[in-house]
Amino acid sequence: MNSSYILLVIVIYVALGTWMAYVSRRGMGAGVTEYFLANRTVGGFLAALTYSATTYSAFMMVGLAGFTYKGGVGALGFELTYLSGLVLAVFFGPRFWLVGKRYGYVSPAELLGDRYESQWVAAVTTLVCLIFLIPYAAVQLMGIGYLLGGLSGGTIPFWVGLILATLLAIVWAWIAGLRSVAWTDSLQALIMLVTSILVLLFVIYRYFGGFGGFFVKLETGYPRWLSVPGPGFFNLKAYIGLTLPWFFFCISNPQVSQRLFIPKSMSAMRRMLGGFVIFGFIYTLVSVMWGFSTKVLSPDLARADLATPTLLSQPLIPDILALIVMVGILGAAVSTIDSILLTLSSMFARDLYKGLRPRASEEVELRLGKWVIPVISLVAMLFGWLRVGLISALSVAASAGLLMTVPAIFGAFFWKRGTASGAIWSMILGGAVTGFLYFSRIRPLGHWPAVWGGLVCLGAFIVVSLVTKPPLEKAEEFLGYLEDKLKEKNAL
Amino acid sequence: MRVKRWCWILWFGFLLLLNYTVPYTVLSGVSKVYGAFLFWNLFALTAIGSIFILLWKWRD
Repeated sequence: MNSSYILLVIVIYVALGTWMAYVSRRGMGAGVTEYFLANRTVGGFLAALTYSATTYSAFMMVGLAGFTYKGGVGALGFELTYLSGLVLAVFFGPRFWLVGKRYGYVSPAELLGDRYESQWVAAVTTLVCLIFLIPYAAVQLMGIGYLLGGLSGGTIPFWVGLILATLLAIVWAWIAGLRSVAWTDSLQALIMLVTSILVLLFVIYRYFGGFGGFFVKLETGYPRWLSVPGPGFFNLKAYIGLTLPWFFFCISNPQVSQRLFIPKSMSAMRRMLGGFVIFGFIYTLVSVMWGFSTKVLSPDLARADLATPTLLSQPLIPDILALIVMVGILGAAVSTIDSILLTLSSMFARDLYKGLRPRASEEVELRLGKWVIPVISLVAMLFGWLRVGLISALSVAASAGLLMTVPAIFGAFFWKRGTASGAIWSMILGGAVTGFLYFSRIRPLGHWPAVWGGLVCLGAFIVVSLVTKPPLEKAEEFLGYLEDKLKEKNAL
Repeated sequence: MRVKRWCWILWFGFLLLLNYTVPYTVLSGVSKVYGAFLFWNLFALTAIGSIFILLWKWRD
């Protein structure tokens, strides 16, 4: 495809997004809660779109399509397991929202630090998130590099996509914090969904004459792709290793769980979660069908990551459609990265800096948070430059690391006996085991790092909590308040 | 409320168990669209339906 067309479409996309980001500044107040949480006043529709765009990244259209291409229908089960994990948001959403309003929490790490009465818990949570989210952000940047390179036939080098996505994420997060992120996310979520459906329908009807013809070709040409373990990639141990962190994604990933603080009411949260699961189901099916379609049309690709660029480069796909989809994928990546940047910067300022200097003013905290945004982006960009491994495997490695915060989060809401030491050691030991197993590529008994890391993490949390003193007074007050309020709101 | 909570936890646990067992046992030899592909779609729709039931009970 002609690279001048690609650049022209990107310029229009950047101009539109930047205009929206500036418009979102209207009526913006001052302070940390305003900047990082839009003052907890986001409506249901906007919240649903920003939640969707933040959760679904370039991984879906590039990585999941690649997973399907390589491993078949197991990719569908893998991603739908994540979606079913939204049931956790039904349990945790009202809890995060209620205590967020009562105690003024800005980040999930702050919530844990206060509940366990230890600034160290907040600091360690922040460090774990920084360590594991940077590869995840880098994956998004790499996705854009591959996409632009693939679509332009190599005319646009990998690093151009990388730098472009980094700059956009910085600017759109910087302009008005969560307000600009939420509005640009919404625009991008709509583009992502509409364009991906359009391409799918176009491919299915133009190349296969409809869904019936498509499934017949898939069943006759690639039957192994329709069962598990299928071609071999999705054996049961791999499936468990991949889905375990994915199931807990909505509470383990702080850029997503921080969204639980922002709805203006319980109805807004209901619309946010309800809207998201519908969006997610459609988007998952479409991404998987992209992977299957590419398998049938171009079965011998050298790398599964190239499935999407190859699909968009098919001769019968009109250039204009491929270009719009490219913007959809670019949007998916940027909307995830800017949310990660905003969340990590809020955690850095509130949970690391303010923990060290409790008397620091809100103004200083906010200024520091804003300056951390470009620093984290540059680190992620450098990581992306290294192009380590398969794009989707990297993404899952990040989620496996963040899984180590889950026992502490469960303990905060459901176990009075949980302690700060238990939370800290569970994250440190679980994170260390997961990181070591990923780097060394050792898989004891064939199980993936998330399984072993998760077991060590859970064990450490329970054992260390039982031998240390819990903050019982705080636990009684925190959980007592929640129990009363949850009854009032009729939430489980 | 506590009993209701446990009933829902058990229901979601059961669904999750099916998600791992059915495609890898009963359906592992079925290389058709009505095999694991259809199963995982139905699994997700059941989970989504259950989520909606819970969401619609919330009060402001």
